[in-house]
Parts: sequence; C-alpha cells; structure tokens
Amino acid sequence: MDTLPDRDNELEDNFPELLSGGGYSITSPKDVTYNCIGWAADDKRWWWPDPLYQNYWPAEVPRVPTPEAFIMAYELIGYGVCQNSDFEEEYEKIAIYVKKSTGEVTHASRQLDCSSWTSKCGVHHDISHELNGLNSEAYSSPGIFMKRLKS
Amino acid sequence: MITTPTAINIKSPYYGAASTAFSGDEADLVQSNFIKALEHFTKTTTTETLEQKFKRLSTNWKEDNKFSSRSSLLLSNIYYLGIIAMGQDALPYIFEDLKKGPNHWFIALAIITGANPVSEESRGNILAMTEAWISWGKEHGYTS
Repeated sequence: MDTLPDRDNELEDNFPELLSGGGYSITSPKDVTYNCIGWAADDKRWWWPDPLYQNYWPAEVPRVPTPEAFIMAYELIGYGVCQNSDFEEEYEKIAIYVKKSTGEVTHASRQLDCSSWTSKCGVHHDISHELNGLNSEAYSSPGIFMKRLKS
Repeated sequence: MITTPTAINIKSPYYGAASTAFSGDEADLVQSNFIKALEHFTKTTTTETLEQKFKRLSTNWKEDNKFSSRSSLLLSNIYYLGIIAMGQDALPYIFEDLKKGPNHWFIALAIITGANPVSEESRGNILAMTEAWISWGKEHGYTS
C-alpha cells in the first residue's frame, strides 16, 4: 500500500481553513469511485441525484439537488435532523454543507469524535479535519446536521 | 429566459438532451453554459486534431472538477460541455479514457448517445458503471 502524504498543496490552496486550528490528516489515496455524500453515510458509492439516472440516489427521493431531497435520502438510512454538531457518544452525526447563495448542497462530512470529522473531497483524498476546516467558496459551510443511533 | 441562437441549436442535437433533463434555475444554468461552450467551440478556428481537442478539454475539466462531488456541476463546466458538443466524435476518446480507469464520463455519454446501459443496481457503483458503458461502447462499435 502506498504511503499517504502528510499534506497536499492543492487541498490547502482550495481549503485554506484546513490549516487553522487542529489542521488535517490525509486518510486515503485519491479515488474517483465514491463521493462525500456516500462517504458521510459510510457507503462507498457515488451518490448524486442526477436527472440522467447514472449515480446512486434512493428511488423514493426526488432526483433534485435540494437540501430537502438530501435530508430525505439520509432519513431513509436512519438519520434525523438535529440541532447542532455537538458530539454525542451514542450517535453518529453528519453535516450537510449548503451554498447560501443558491441553496444547493455542496458537500457532506461525518463526525468521528469530539473534535474531528471525515470527508471525501470530490475525487481527491479522504481527510479528517475540524468541522470548519472545509469552509470555503466551493463548499460554503455546514448548514444542516443529522444524527442516527450508532449500531 | 435564455435565448438560444438558432444556428447553434441546429448544430447540436445534444443541446436539447443536456438542458431538458434539468429544470428551473439549474436548467437555465445548463443552457447558458452549453450555449457558451458551443459558441466558443464552433467559432474558434484551430488546427487541433479531434484527439488533441479532446485531451485539452478533458485535462482542463479534470483539473477544474477534482474537489466536487456534484455531478450537476459537470454541466456547468465549459470544458465538459465542450466535449459533449463534440458529439459522437468524442466517443472513441471517452471510451479510451474509460478503459484506462474509471472517471465521470457517464453524464456526457448519456447525453451524447441517449442511451443508459447502467442498471438500477449499478447506479453509483463507478466500477460497474464503467464496465456497463464499455460493454455498450463495444456493442456499438465505438471501442474494441
């Protein structure tokens, strides 16, 4: 297995907030086969509600990239909307990033512990990071939190 | 409301497929970007071969899109739209690229060909989707 790099200049250039606070760690090689939406749900598929029926999206949920549709998709696997990102030992939490200007969902992260979250960054690496480490023009910031009981 | 130049509409049957799959603001964005891509790639005179053009557009798209999970954004990317605007000329190069390794050519393939060989169970499984499309490409003579 290839050794993972400690840092990645492209990530840091695109997400400068990664360098503040506790920094970040690269936790997987680059991979085009799954995305953040699936990774947040611990599912290594490419989730997206594309209207051409190529990517995975639950059949019960409208194939539109709205926050409501993403909430419905995660509700189907046991998540419910919660008020905040506070760590709760008995729950898994995810954060859904929403672009304020357009209302579009841009990204999702999964909580790992009281201080760190895991994200798949497009076709790039998985990283662990602080919640606000990916706040950026591209992803905007977490706007919705959901949780489910740990199995 | 986006006004579509008639000449461009006639030149690209893919325009309709790219835009009618979307609705509302997203459709307007797709239409607007598609028109920009078509205008750019139909007006530019170049000595590039089709293969060189494909490689240039492909390289630029992959660079632009590396941090995005949003498949919708593919149709906001002028380079990806440029490849769709190449139409069937792009297919042999897309399949060649797919055979080197999976990548997100599925939206372009679906729009250019009007086909969808990806089964419901395979949606989102990028390796299975890649295999399904390569098999389709072989059946239809776009790759060996």
